[in-house]
Amino acid sequence: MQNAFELKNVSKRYSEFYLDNLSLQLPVGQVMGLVGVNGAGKSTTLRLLMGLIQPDTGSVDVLGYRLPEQQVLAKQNIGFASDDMRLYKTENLRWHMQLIQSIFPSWDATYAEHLLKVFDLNAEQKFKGFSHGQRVKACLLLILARKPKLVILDEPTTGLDPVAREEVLSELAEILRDENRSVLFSSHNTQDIEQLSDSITFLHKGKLLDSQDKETYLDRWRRIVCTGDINSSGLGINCITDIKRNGSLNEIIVNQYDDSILPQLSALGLNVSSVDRMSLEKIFVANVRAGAKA
Amino acid sequence: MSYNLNIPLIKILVKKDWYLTRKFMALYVGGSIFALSFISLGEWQFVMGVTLLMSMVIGMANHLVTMTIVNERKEQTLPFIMSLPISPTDYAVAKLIANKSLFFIPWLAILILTIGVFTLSAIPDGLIPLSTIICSYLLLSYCLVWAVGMIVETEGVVILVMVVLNCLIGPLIYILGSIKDISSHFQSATQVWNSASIGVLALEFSLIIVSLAVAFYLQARKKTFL
Repeated sequence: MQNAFELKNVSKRYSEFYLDNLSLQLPVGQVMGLVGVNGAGKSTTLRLLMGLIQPDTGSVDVLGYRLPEQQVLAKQNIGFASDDMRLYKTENLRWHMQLIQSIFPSWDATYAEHLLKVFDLNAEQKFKGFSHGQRVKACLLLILARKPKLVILDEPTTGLDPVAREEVLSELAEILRDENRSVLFSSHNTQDIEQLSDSITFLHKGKLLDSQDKETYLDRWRRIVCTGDINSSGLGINCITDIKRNGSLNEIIVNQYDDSILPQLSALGLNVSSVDRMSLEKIFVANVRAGAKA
Repeated sequence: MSYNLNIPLIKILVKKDWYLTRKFMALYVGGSIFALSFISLGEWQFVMGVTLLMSMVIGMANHLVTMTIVNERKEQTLPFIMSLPISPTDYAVAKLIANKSLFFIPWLAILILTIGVFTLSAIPDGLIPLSTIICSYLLLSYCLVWAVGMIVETEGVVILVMVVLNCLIGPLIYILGSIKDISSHFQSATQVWNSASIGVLALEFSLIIVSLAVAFYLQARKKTFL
């Protein structure tokens, strides 16, 4: 299967941050959610994929082009938007649409008008009068109407009210019907990632903690509640990422759950009362905690 | 390494900067023409006219760099521009062409009009070399501020450079006045271009070329653009 992008052993050092030997790829037609706390390396990764940062080591290939050298060719088919991106405040949305249309022959005017209606935007309104939600939707309109092969979104739903968020998510879901379009988006909102992504990638302090397809990934994690004594040396089971104790009640988080775990716990004298699947949000927190302890 | 510029997109970005700055550029050019309209009417009108004229050119220079380079970073429109099929080199070339044409064309028009007013009025033509040198200093200041704006990402540094360069206009006029080969011709009925005045002018234009070359060199070496 062809990849929309491929990062191989990419490192980038700043004074306060180090992106450590990142290898990551996104197959064409897939949606990848990038998760991590502030400073995890999400924005650095996205900027590497836009050719705006030159890696210290490793290689970055996007849509078959080597970056940053061939970024102009690659960016013909990349749509990029970030939550801190702004348009020219003295001009209206129509002026921006005409600017983008003059650059991209792939601009779909009919689809742009459709998005104006769906996002409830006034194309004649100057950008300085736009709310945050309208700004985000305007940026999305400008990139989606170009019909790019790869869409890269940095925190697209941050700060949106529930209605605007739903509008954005449903339109993103709509564009994903095109099997040749790939999407990479970062978000703090794990619900969005759980809703849209085919695969999930966790970054923490510049390191890749995990990258896997969503179903397999979510299926790996379990929260096990049990009673009994756990000695200070732990349980000797490798896949346990966290143990919380409250008297004789224990909450155990495992990241590679399989059928052998429960017999192992029973053999250690623990009485298991429940085994629950975890939401991505809970996994996110557990992953970050585990990363902090490592 | 050879690199093909994205000429069509550079043209679009240059047109974009011309469009976005058209209103205030018209105001500065209008203000300059207004200053020249009364500069030859008397002594205090001359002082007022020169002050207004210089303020207009300095204001235009600083406003241009602030609006097209500093504000693009500060107001976060740079990520929008860099999401287009453009490289940092294309961006630098677009900014060079847009800014230099936006400033140079009005600057040249104002210089020609100033020389014309001096030639046709009772103002001594001997002041033309001094005016040309000061006008060229304003062009040099603009190029230096542009270069700093392109290289440095801190608004405060750009403002500091603007202030320092503006403060140097007084000392420049004082130094030119103390160079006998230049100042002795201020009251002449004809303009006198000698090795001293041509030398100062040549130095200014050399510094302009160096500032642009350094800006491009450092821009090309940037490993993190945004």
